[in-house]
Amino acid sequence: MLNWLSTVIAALTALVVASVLLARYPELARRRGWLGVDVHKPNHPQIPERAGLCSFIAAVSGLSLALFLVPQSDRFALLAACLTITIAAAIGFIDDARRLGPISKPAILVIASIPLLAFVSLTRPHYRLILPVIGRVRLTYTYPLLVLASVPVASNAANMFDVLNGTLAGSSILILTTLTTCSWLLGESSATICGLVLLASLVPLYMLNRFPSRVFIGNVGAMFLGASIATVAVLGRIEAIAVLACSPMILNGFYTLSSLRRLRERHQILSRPIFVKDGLLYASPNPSAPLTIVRLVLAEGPLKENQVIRILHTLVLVSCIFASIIFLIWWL
Amino acid sequence: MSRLLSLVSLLVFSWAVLFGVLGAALLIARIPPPPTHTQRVILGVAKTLSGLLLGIVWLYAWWWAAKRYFLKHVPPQRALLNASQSEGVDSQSFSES
Repeated sequence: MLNWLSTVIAALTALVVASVLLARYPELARRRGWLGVDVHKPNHPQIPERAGLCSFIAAVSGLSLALFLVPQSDRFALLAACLTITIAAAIGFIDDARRLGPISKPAILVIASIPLLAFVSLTRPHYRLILPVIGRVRLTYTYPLLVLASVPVASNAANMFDVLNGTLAGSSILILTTLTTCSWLLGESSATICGLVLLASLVPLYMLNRFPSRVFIGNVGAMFLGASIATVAVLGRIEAIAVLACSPMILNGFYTLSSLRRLRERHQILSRPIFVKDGLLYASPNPSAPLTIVRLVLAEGPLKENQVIRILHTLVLVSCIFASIIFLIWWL
Repeated sequence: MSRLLSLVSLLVFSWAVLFGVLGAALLIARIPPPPTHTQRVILGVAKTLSGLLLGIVWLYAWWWAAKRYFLKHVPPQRALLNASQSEGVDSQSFSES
């Protein structure tokens, strides 16, 4: 049973902490030299990076407070959620400071899944995964592997989707809203609390990260958001719904990997998928450039950055609506 | 608008393939468990592997449709590459450090 008062207090704490931290963050980032160039703007402005750190701190503050307010039954789940997003964000922060390799990063991210795996193994020994069309399936050996893979896959897919101003933060708000609503309808209180706290910490970040960005979320933000989506999906028992809602992200990640035929870091990709000319984004005609979702959006002709962002958000919204319909048919 | 519809139809195609794949997985899941433990383990491994294979089929069906759509609108032209392409990183930033 969801304790609304505790949930609202935890979410408000996350919202206030995120707002306060983000108000001071740009100045701090400039002092420390945490700056990135916005390559899609005409004058290439330098923008404070790693602002995802503020949202992460806010989310952990809210979840830590919730640990003391919620009933005993939800504490283990919230502790696992806290640990998972902390490890993922820490790996993202290290990646921001000194680039991790394209293979070592997902390999290290498996560590972030361990708290989730511990929670699942100890509380759901005979868990049956729900899949659309098939129904409940018992995946005794495969499910733990899926949980282990969930954080690296979601975090990397999120990182690859963070290509234009506010695309990842805006999409994560849509996806987390869908997953939190589904968890609430299923009566999964820990996932609902977790989702609401994460959403509260994310809204102030989106306000600064949306087009035209005043801060970038950095790898720390991308890893944190990917881990957050995976965590809410596993805690809420809505893994398949999360896959459907994240379709554009998964599609983008798979397109990129398929075209490159191996894992690579952004700076290692020599043929860029898009180029900027006179303030417009164009799809690269180079056959060796990776086929990303932005390149796909630009296939029919050039667009302004904010138009591409709007299309990406619409695709995520359509996926979330489809995922919600499937949820209503198969889960309720 | 037509661009958005094309992209949404790509997504819908991917979901259609996914549900087809899940239908195939349902047939595999309905295979009754064999009598001995060893046979059950072998069947479990076979089911898992076929699930993985179906997942790969789903992803590659997506990939095929997207590539077809892209090549229809942007035929490969190496000569069109220009100097400004080097600044068009498909990432909103690159670190100064």
